[in-house]
Amino acid sequence: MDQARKSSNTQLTQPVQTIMAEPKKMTRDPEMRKSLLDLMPGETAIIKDVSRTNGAATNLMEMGLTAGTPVRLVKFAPLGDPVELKVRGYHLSIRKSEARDIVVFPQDRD
Amino acid sequence: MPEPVQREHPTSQKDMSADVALIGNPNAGKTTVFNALTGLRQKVGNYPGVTVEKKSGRLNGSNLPIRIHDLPGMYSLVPSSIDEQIAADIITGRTSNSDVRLIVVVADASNLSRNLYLVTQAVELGRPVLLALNMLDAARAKGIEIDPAALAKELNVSVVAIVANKGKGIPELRSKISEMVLQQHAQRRQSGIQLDNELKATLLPTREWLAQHSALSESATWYEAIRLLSTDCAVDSWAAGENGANTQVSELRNLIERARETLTARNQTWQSLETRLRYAWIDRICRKSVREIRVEEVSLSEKADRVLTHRIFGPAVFVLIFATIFQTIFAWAEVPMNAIEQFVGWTSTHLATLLPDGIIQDLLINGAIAGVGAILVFLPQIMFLFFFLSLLEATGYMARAAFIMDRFMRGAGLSGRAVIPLLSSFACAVPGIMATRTIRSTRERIITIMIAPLMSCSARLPVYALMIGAFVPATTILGIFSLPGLTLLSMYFLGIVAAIGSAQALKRFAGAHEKPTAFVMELPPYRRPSLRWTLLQVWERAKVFVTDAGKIILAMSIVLWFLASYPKPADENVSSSQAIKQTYAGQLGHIIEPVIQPLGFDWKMGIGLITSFAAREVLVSTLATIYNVEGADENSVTLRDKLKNERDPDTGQPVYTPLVAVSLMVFFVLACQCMSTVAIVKRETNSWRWPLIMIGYMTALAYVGSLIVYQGGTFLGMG
Ligand SMILES: Nc1nc2c(ncn2[C@@H]2O[C@H](COP(=O)(O)OP(=O)(O)OP(=O)(O)O)[C@@H](O)[C@H]2O)c(=O)[nH]1
Ligand SMILES: [Mg+2]
Repeated sequence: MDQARKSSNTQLTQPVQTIMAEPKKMTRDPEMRKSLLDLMPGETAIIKDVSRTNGAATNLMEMGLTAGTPVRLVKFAPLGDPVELKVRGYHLSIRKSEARDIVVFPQDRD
Repeated sequence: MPEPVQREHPTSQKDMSADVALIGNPNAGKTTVFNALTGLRQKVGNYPGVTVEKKSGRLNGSNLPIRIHDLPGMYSLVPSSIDEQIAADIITGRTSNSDVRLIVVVADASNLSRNLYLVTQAVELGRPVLLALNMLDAARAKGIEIDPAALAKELNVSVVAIVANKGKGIPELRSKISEMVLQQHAQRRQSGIQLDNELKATLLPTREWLAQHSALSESATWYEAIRLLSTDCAVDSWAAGENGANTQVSELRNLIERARETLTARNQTWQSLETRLRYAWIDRICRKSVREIRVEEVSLSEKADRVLTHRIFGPAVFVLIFATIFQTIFAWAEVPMNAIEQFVGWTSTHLATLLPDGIIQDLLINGAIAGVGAILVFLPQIMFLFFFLSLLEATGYMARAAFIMDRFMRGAGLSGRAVIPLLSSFACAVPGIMATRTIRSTRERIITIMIAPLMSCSARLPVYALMIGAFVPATTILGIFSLPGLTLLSMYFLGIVAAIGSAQALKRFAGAHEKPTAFVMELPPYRRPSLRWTLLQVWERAKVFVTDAGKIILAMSIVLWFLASYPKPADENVSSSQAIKQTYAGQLGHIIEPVIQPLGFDWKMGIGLITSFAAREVLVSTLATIYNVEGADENSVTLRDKLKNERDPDTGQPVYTPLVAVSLMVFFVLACQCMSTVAIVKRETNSWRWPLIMIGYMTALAYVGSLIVYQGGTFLGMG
């Protein structure tokens, strides 16, 4: 599963070869894995990897949650779960258990 | 004259029409397009998963015999639920040599990149594809401008821009379909995701296997091969198909495994390779054909959701909506109900004067008119219910209901996905059970099917309405809630509570080991429902209700009239209430009386319980027929009054007390009295196991429920 992780957020414009290539070892922010659930409601981040979401990865990627895509955590449902996301211009609801496994790029807050 | 149709595959001669399939993402507007093209009125709604089976119709306004097939929506050709599988199988030819001449992909322009995922997959199948770019109005409102010509060029397909619900672009779409069906052999340079030579070499063995074992076109086998490589679910649909003899599929699995190893050895990742390559292509296409003319602001829909899915207001509004619906059903239906009641009464008195006395008059008035009329009276309530449910479906609130309720449903082993089928079951369990096809987990699907009939359906409404109308005083509580409305609400509530309890219990039976699947659901923007369309759908459903129920009830009423009239007593002077005891119905009723007496029911209700196993509303017509035959010499008009006046011939006590009425209603909330439901459960689960369990557990629930109410109530002195 680890192989599916990507280290770049710009690969969408890259040729096939690069898309397929094994990510280089990450030296920067080694332990800075940030989950989508770490976002505050209303915050947006760039998706880094969804392959860890158990069972739903294919579905989520087919629905456009690919690496490099901006995603906004819109809100939590009244009972705290599921969450509502906005991605590629539409709204999607997934459970926290999946959202937790979606890795996003840490943002530079200033 | 239609052109002679040439076929590549030999098919049956009797039907020469060309097949055109409508596919697209859920909620992209396929059925709206289908209705516009065929003039039919299939169900449309603003939530994903409205259509769950194939529907076909002839293309209007074309002199070619073209048959359009509306299919369930899907996000990709790799199906993850039964409804998606149906659609995918038809167009890929994975499992059967389907003969689709043209694929029309309906894409939601306001949501283009995700919709293009399926579009690009369809293009790669190698069959002629026409892109119907729908919802351009919504795209424009969002500030998105799309260049159809650029899109056509990038994808190498014809594009027709439409706004399906306004009928815009439909004539163009219609003529383009006819044109493309005719010139099917026109060669096009086919587009697809780029595969470099190295990757092609890796995929080659898999591709060859596919070429040998399926009807896929040469180019399509490449793309299917990369799909199989990229995800484990893809191979499942091969295993499920008819030509997926297991040994062969294990061959396929080996080939895929080897290709994956090759990639891994080369330090490349195979997981989701298709998705990554495809979205890379899609993003390129979008850059050339989509322009954001204005930065997206917060949409009306998002503002509405600030309240409707708000932490506190959300659930409050949810409860309020349903409470209001059941309250108003009762309040608003009063006037039309009375009118129908009078009309029925007028018809039978009129007929009585027109027809000569005798068997025919008796049969018509006390059998047919009494039985059918008794149900017609409740039609307004049923129509109000349909109206409100249609509104909820059309606005987009259903998906929010699923969002709000998911957490709650999980406690019962279900997910938010189950909410929509269960809410549809308030109208009728049959479409509700069909709608469970969208539930991905088999276990959750079975549980939902099993509890769906506990949602109070429209056929129970006449029973509730009759009992409440006769025995619950129309007083008001706290100034706003009417007591009849509250009673009705509590019957619905009882059904829901019983459903949750049953789900808990069923969890253990229905494949407890299966892992829970993810809850992934799109929340479409709210749309303003079209009043005309909503009324049409209400009309359509009401018509079905009247004709379906009408047939059963008419037949049943005539049989009952006979059973309750014969044999005629030897002594002419015996009172009619004594006479009926000696008829066949009376004898039958007295046999079952001991079983139902503890529930507070007399033998006439017993007959009603038996007949209502065909369909619940038959109870009302049964009672009407029996009392009419019996009370031929009285002249109380309405069934409600007859129930109130009914006395035990031996004791002179009223037969119906409010407690009996409640006990009867509770029985109807819980019992499985519907042939169609049993038949659909058999069909959807493919075995007799679940329908039998359903009848068993629901009958037990009903008996025990009524017993507790009646005995408890009597004990507390409420009898
Ligand atoms: N604004 C707008 N709404 C549309 C258009 N076409 C359809 N709709 C609405 O979109 C919603 C979905 O339409 P359907 O035809 O049920 O969609 P479907 O693709 O058949 O959906 P499923 O059967 O669930 O896959 C309905 O509320 C329609 O009224 C359009 O061109 N513009
Ligand atoms: Mg549809």
